[in-house]
Amino acid sequence: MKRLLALIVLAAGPLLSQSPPKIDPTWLKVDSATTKVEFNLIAGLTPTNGGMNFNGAGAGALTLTVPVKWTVVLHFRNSDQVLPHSAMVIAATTPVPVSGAKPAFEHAVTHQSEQGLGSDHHEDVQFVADRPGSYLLYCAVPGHGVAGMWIHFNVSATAHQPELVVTRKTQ
Amino acid sequence: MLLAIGLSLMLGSHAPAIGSSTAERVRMYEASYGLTLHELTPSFARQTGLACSVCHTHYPELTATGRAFKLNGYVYRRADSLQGRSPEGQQNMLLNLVTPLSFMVQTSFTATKKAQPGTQNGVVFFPDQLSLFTGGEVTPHVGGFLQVTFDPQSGSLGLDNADFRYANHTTAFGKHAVYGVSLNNNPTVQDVWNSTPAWGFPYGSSAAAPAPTAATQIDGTLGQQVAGLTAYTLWNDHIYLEAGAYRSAPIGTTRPLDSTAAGVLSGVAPYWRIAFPNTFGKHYLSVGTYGMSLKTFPAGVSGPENRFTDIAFDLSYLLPLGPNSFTTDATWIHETQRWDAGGTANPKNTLNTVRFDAMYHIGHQYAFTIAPFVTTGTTDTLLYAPAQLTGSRLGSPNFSGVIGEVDVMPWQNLRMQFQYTYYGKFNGSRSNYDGSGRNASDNNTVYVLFWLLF
Repeated sequence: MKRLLALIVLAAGPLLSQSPPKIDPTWLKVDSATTKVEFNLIAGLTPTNGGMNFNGAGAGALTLTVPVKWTVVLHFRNSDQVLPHSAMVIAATTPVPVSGAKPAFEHAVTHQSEQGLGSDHHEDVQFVADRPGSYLLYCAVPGHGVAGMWIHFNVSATAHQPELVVTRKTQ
Repeated sequence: MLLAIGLSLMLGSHAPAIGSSTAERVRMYEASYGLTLHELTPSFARQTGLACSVCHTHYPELTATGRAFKLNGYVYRRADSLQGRSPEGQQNMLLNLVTPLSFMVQTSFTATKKAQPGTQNGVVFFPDQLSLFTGGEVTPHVGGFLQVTFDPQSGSLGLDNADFRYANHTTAFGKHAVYGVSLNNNPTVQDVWNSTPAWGFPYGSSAAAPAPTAATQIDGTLGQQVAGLTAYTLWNDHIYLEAGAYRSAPIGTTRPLDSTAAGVLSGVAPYWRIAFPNTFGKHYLSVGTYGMSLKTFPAGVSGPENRFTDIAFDLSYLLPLGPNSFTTDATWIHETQRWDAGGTANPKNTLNTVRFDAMYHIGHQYAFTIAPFVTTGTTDTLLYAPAQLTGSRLGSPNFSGVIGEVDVMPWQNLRMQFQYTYYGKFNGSRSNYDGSGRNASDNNTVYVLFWLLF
């Protein structure tokens, strides 16, 4: 009986089993000459939050900062093998909208954003971050964003280089 | 005790790495979602940690997430579980910490324009339907859905819809593919579009109001009377293929089936389903076909057989409009009937059913639906014989009408449904359809239904 009990373990579900995302330096490609940044935005990269994460980060655990007026290219890919996902840049808001959000910048959204792209599908999105402010990179499939599928996206008037960092706990 | 300690340790050690504590995140989640972590089967909501509106526009109508959840075997999970491992470290058990049970209580009021002969009009059901749902992840690739329903008219508890499936995914021809097998008890109950009969509109209808006589086999006639095993795949999110077979498995009948049984399938009945879902900008559209072919013994398990072949086409459409949405589902079912066992005026008949519903959803709180329907078929004076209320003076299966419905959902697990059914034609004609002086419009029905899910 003791042996049996020892073999039964409580497995934290993905909702609770989040660990700090590890940043892969290949995700971000910066071209200062053309003021262009390319970001590999990967939905469902890890099981964190049941796959409702971008690059392994849910609920704002990553922050992408770009200088204002830079061109941003999102190489979006859905690695989640179960759920469809999408990407949209929206104005930072609390609470995160369940559905019906509008992109904060023209073209800053994958197509069929509410239906999402299926597993292993990918799409490139390009837009100009022409207004400084705090935004979210958010999955627009209804309910996914509010369930934690978003990261911070800041457009900075003072930054000189794009930067991807693990969000500080105080935020 | 061991589990309590384990849970405490896990909660403590798995606080989110970034931003806030687990408790804060839970509060944020609750604040953003309200207390809405319930679903058509709240056990799924408890397992996934997602609100009704993530998987349903208007339950049981599925969203893209809901279809993915079902196709992948109901196993998607964001809640805690218990895992068992062998001494070699192999996972050999997976149990939800949350009991996978939920309840549905419906109570209703039904009134027809004219009382049914010899009865009191204004029927109250309390409950109209009382269902116990269980379902969800059983193993990482096996899950299910089981509904047990209390019928107030018979006073009995019986098996309702059931769908257990194995699902997995692979890459085929360079594209992602979901594949699996479903064991179920109602043809189309395993389908992920609401254009097919098992989960089609109306989602709730009166058991007290007169219903037209004619229905095709695939349109609910076989529900809970068969068991079927089907294999399916969704390739590249654009091509859905499914095939399988059904065999008689009626509830409440002596086994093995013998001469006392009725409507037993001869052999197995093949079933097929093809669908082509696609997205065009904001528009989601799936068109497809489904059907089955079956032979039945009208009585017993041997002798002459009747043969039915159902071929159907369907369409499912969704247009998101900000927080609102517009959905449409439609199906056309054509059935050819060969009555070799006799009992009909004609050796061969046909039956055609067309149903269409257009639903406008205002957020997740209101839905307005208009749903015309029409069924036509071969006149057969024996099959559709005259009888007071339920028969046809002309021996005709034809009926047509439209359903208008308003749904109010102040909470996602509480629905008030106000439905009106208008009949232009009933069992063959507009007036005196049964030969006893009853008109089609006499069956126009007001149906008020309250749903509670918890």
